[in-house]
Amino acid sequence: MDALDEQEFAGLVSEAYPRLWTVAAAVVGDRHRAEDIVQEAVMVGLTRLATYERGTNFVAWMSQIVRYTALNARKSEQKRKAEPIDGHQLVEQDAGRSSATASETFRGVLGENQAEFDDHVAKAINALDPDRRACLLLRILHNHSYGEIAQQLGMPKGTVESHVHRAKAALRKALPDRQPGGPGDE
Amino acid sequence: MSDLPRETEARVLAFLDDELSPAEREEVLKMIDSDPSVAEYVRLQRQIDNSVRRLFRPPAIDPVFLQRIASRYQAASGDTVAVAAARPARRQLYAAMLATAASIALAVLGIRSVFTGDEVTIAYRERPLVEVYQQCVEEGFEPYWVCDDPALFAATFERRQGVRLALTELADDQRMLGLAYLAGISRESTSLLATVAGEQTIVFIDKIDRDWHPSTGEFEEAELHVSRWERFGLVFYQVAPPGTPLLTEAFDIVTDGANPGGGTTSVEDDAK
Repeated sequence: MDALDEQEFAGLVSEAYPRLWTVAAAVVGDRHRAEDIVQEAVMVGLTRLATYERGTNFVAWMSQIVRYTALNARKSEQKRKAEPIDGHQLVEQDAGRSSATASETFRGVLGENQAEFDDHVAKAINALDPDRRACLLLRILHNHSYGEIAQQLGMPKGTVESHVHRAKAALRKALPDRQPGGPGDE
Repeated sequence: MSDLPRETEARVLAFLDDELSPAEREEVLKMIDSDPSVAEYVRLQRQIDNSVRRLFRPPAIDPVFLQRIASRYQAASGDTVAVAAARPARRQLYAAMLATAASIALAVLGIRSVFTGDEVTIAYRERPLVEVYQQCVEEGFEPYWVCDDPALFAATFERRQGVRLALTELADDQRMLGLAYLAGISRESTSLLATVAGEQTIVFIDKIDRDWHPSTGEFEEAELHVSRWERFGLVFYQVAPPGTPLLTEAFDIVTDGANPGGGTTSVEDDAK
């Protein structure tokens, strides 16, 4: 069977990009690095096109490469830094880095309470294990079924379901007790 | 907030994920109406989901990246990818088709990007480059990315600064450690971490129109010197201990006729 041609490959990458980015961001813990990771992974994918079977789940095939690339990048980074990834890194790493929190980040657009709420959520998400985080983000951001996530990440469906439930529980537990009249829904 | 009983929680989560039958859905709605703890749980979970969507909205794909795939594809197809050999005319057709696809993608994604990606703008804060340098040193002077692939190196700068940069051959006492995103000039600045003559050196690189002209010159208390130059339509700021040689000639561009060329403007290092 012929491998994908460049137009087909580019089209599939373009369509899958949001989900690939989500996997990269979940594993590597950095928005900007996620773009780099996906690009690196796509270049790797180009060299392995012969292993992709036309008509099968391209997102799953490409996600494995993204995840592997991101895990390698994360390992290298942790080895160099010899410390775990900072809790804020996933949301804000560059502009003013450690001095910027999600609440500062979003204050210009959202109300103060909502920015603070987002800050707590960001910290809680960053404390999750990368696989758990990836399952949660794919579920919430892309409304994937557990089966779709399982296929994309190469995990059993039951594991995905457990990851999502535990991730949601962890986020709820990480939030401070709400006061009456707290931030409303968007 | 106390957790719900496990069975109730499972049903509520399934309700929020829209996985229930109409009858089951109706039951959960009654629970929400009658039990404040269930109502609170649902409200909080929806808030969390909305927060996650705000925080992790994926960016639009860079159309330049799609073009990069095309050129990489052609380079790879002769080595490891089993693709029928393309005659020159067909290659041109593929390139035209991909350019069209990229244009369409750009049109679609250009509209979409109004509502996605960096819609929530990170609040960039202007601060002296010596401060950014010092923070980087305190945190270990580690790059985010050791980029060994010249094509990816060029693609990174093209995505962020609109110019495909390459490194020239460095002198024996110059060593590139990697890239980092330290901001500096703007949120999109790319920083290059290096050692030059044994000194830790950062070069902040960005588009000229993003330059807010941070102070240059000698910073005695910090024992640092900031120099500025322009080249290829970009602005470069180098921060390093005084006397460190400048990396003005360390960069070149991967030209394809589309990138601006040009020599280096005079170095500014005393406009404090």
